[in-house]
Amino acid sequence: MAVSDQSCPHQTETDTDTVVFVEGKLAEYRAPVIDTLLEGLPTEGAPELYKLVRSYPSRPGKGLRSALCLATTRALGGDTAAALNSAVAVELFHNGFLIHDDIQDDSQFRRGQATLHAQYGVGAALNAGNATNLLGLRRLMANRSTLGAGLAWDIFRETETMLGHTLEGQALELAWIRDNSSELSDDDYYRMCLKKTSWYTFIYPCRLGTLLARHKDFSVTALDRFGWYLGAAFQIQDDVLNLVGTYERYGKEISGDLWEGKRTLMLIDFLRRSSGPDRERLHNFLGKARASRTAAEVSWLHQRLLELGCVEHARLAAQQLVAAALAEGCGALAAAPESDDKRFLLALPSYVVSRDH
Amino acid sequence: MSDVGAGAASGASGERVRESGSEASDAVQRAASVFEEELAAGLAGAEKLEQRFRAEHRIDPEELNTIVQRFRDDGHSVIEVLAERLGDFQSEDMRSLAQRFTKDAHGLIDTFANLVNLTPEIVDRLTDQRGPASGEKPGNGGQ
Repeated sequence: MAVSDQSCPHQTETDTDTVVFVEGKLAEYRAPVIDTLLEGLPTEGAPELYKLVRSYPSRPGKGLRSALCLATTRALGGDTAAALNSAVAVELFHNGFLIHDDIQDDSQFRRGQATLHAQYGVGAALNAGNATNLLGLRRLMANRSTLGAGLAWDIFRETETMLGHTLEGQALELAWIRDNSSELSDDDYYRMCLKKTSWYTFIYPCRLGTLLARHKDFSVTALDRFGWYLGAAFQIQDDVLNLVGTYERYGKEISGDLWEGKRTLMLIDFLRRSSGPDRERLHNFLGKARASRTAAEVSWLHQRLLELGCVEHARLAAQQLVAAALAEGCGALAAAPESDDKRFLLALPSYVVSRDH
Repeated sequence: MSDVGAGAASGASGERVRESGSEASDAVQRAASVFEEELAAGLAGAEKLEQRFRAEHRIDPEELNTIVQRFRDDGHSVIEVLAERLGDFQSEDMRSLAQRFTKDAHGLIDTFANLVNLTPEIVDRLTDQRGPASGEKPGNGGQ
């Protein structure tokens, strides 16, 4: 779906053009980040630990978060070399979250391979996640000598804010599953989504990029709303792909969210609208532990979400949000000179709803 | 985007999809409202700053600057939203009034924010003039 906004001249491409352009730029941003990340991993001390830390960053991935950090820096006239260390930190925190998230959700696959805890056990994976976060902190400490104490501290504070939001968002979602919450609203979903996903995936990298650019006309919050709407659309699209994507492209188990009982916008829609036997069956399903749920139950829920239009409802919400993200992005970046980096940022809304992985 | 499952959006669900059109247009409003609430919660930063000032008798200029900058950004955003609505007026007088209001409001936000940014320097100077808090002896760091 191509997103159009007549006030923004950047959206004239087809879906295919957008996907090709964005994925090309993602690969371009990702290469130095992953190379630097892997080269910087400790080689001594505990090889068995760093072998696990190396695992997720070595797998195929989009590198979206670090790309956002670099693209924002460059779009606002900043220096790539000075931003690289922070972009690596963003990627490390992301991988640390993924390792822990997979343990918490007991997910079995990540980026086309078995999750770390499925391969090595929960204890070793948990430790590898902690070590990954430690390496992220070390990257932030290194900023002090290269960027100066003031900017390094600003970046550290943004990181502290991001970690707080993300952990609170994760706690919200875990509590919903633990308590078998069934009286949730769309607002509850958006709040969880803002804190758990949007902040660290979009708002935080954009804020770091803005700080790193040191452009006096762009405040640190300039791209907040762009990031928030984009993040919400991204998460909804991810939830949709989890139901209707293919494992080969998506890289995670299809219907994994249903197995986990995740409160997605689609499930909340179904919870709100179901009654009678449907509601009773759904409530019983959500009340079970993941291991007790059956393939037949997951298949029934999957089918009902499609039949009742819950999936289409979510897709439409994602489309509205990407349109809002584009409008916000065009406004926020109006004063930035034209560049491939700016074009990349403004192509992301279309990409988010066009992607299949 | 994957089209798998798109065929299921037919028949009974077709009507649902049409209903969703108007519901989904609420998505942005809902998301915006949640974001504003979170930003408002972030203003707790101002309370923390005040508490620290009461305890330590100093203001961190960087911290205050961050809070003021966010206040400035949010203030300008609110004015723009209001201005868009005021711009819908049909009468030329009202439109002109709305434009003047918008300009004044933007100026007021900036002036206020600039004044607040002078606060740390003034407060620290006043605190220095006042001397140590009661119970403290000069020259020994209050120990």
